[in-house]
Amino acid sequence: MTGMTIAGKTFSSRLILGSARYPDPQTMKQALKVSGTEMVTVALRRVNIGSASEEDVLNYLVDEGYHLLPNTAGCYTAKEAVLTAQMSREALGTSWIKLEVIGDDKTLFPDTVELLKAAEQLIADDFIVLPYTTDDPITCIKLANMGCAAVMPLAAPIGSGMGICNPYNLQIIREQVDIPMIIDAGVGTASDAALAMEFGIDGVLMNSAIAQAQHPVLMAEAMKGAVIAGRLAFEAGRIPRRLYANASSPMEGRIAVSGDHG
Amino acid sequence: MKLSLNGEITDADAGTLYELLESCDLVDGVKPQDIANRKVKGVVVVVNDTVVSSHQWETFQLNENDHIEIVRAIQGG
Repeated sequence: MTGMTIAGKTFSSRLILGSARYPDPQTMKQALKVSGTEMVTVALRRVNIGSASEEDVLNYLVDEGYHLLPNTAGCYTAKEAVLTAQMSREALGTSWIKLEVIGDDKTLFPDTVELLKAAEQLIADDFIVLPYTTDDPITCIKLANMGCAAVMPLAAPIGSGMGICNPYNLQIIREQVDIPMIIDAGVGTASDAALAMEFGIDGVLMNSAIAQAQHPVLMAEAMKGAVIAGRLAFEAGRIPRRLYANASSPMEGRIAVSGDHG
Repeated sequence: MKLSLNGEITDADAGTLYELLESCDLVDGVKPQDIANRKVKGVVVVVNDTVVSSHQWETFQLNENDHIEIVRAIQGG
């Protein structure tokens, strides 16, 4: 299986995982390990002044050598997202940013106008921008032309587990966009990830599908297998779909049976 | 001097940002001095919507009503 190259960096795993919503830090650590992922997302939040510490997951991720992908989750305007990206660059020493500009609490769909504005500003400031976007081909083409390092359309709303809701749009985006394409959000189970990979999509980013599964570590293993299987199937080249049967066994040399076939 | 620190109005007796960090009682169970001395990974300070790089903390003068955010990287999706 070929690797996934984004902004000149090649990852052997095509799975990107979030680090949130696991039942406990130990489960997260095991799930990340079992999944084979090399890139993990983190968020930026206020330090709780005066409160006791929670386990420092960041140190673990850094020590284990995961490539950190900070996000701008919770930002509703380009201004907030740009400042958050600048904060993450200072805090983590990385220019990589998973750019999220949310338009609405209930759907968590991106605000495309603010997203494009933020992407433009961050690219001008030398960030490596991986935008979470709607599955709209035109928006994805604009983001690609602007200079984003990848486009990351959603499969379904964040955390919904609804799977790939609009496979046709995703296939159009795949055909229209030359830069890496990653499915971000909405994956529910292994077949969703495999299907995305079969479309020739470069990678899958997920969090809840693993972290909120009844057995996160098992699901991490399932997702690893699904991404590999889907990618291999894409690289192998599937047979065309046809309406009628096409016998596998040769028709020649069949035996003749006497009697009435009716 | 009145400051807004992570959304709370605080009366702080600090001239520089470094002094403010040192004067905080407890920051996520981490010694503020360790934050000030960059011993804690993933912490960033923002004053009035501008990131203040850690090498400026000692000299960065605070002013009345400054809006300060101390932020760190946590688990996220």
